[in-house]
Amino acid sequence: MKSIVRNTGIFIFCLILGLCITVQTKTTNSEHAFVSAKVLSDNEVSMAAEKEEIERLKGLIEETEQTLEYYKSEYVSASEIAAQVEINYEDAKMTAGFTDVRGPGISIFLDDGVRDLYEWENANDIIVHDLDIMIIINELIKAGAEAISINGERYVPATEISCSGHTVKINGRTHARPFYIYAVGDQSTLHSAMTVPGGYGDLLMEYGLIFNVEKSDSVIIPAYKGSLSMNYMILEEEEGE
Amino acid sequence: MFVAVIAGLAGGIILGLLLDVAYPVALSFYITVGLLAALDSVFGALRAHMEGKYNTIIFLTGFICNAALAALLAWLGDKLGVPLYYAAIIVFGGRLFNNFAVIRRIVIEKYFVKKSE
Repeated sequence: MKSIVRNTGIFIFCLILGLCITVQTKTTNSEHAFVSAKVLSDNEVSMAAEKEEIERLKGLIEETEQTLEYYKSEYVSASEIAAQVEINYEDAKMTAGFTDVRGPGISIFLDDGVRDLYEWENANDIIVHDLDIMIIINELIKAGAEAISINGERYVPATEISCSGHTVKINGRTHARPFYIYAVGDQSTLHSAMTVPGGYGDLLMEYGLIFNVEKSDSVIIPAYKGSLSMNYMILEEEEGE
Repeated sequence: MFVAVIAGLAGGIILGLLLDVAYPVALSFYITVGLLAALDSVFGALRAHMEGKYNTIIFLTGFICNAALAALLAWLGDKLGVPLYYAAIIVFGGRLFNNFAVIRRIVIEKYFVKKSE
């Protein structure tokens, strides 16, 4: 009788031990990971964003296919295609900078500083350089500017900005201070890109230059007045056509 | 006795495989150390049984107290930044081998040496 009680006790404890060993093995080698609620919700949000992006791309594909169908269908007359081409041509011209454009954006006023120089200081410290303008334009493009002009010169891929003594040469024409830079784009993004603490505008003001940024509901940007003649570039045809 | 140990272990393992129980990963380390202590107790019980000194109360208290102490050491070491669980691993691991060696000797003496004489 005593041995039965004894063996039962041992049996129960060995049962618990075996159970623990198995559970432990399963837990250690398990493919399931314990995830906190925050990680879970983060993943859900990013998943939803991805799904939205997929939907958007699907819509884009459908739209493009419809346009293609429209062009291919024999019911479209030549004049309709010509009109469509005309619209596309106007769009391309605007994008390339050959038309005057208008839109919401910002205007920047940039001028040499008027503070007194320190005894040891070079006047270069407080005058506007070509590099300043280039960096500002780069920041504007980074902030999503669609069209930019500097003192009436439209900024296009062929625009050069170079130093020429006390003036700056832009699009082959010489411009002196002050500089008015206009940009069309999202007003608040452009404005904050220019006025962000520690940004380039901040640095210019620290040096004593005059740098003013203002939002404007309607900025007019003139067309590029030069011509873009390509002497070396030819269209790359895809092979096998 | 042997039958009870083997049946219990086998039953526990089967039960563990069948049931879908789990505990937080954070606890798994303490439970591992506790398991080692429990395993040591079982071996100790087998040894005591073969030496004829087995006592259920001693076994049960040893089983629970050793496991609890080992887990406590691991937890305390975790809090203090000193790997105190080494103490538990070395002591229980060493005793495991000790007990096993004694069991082996007793079995050999009981079943093999006698026959050869």
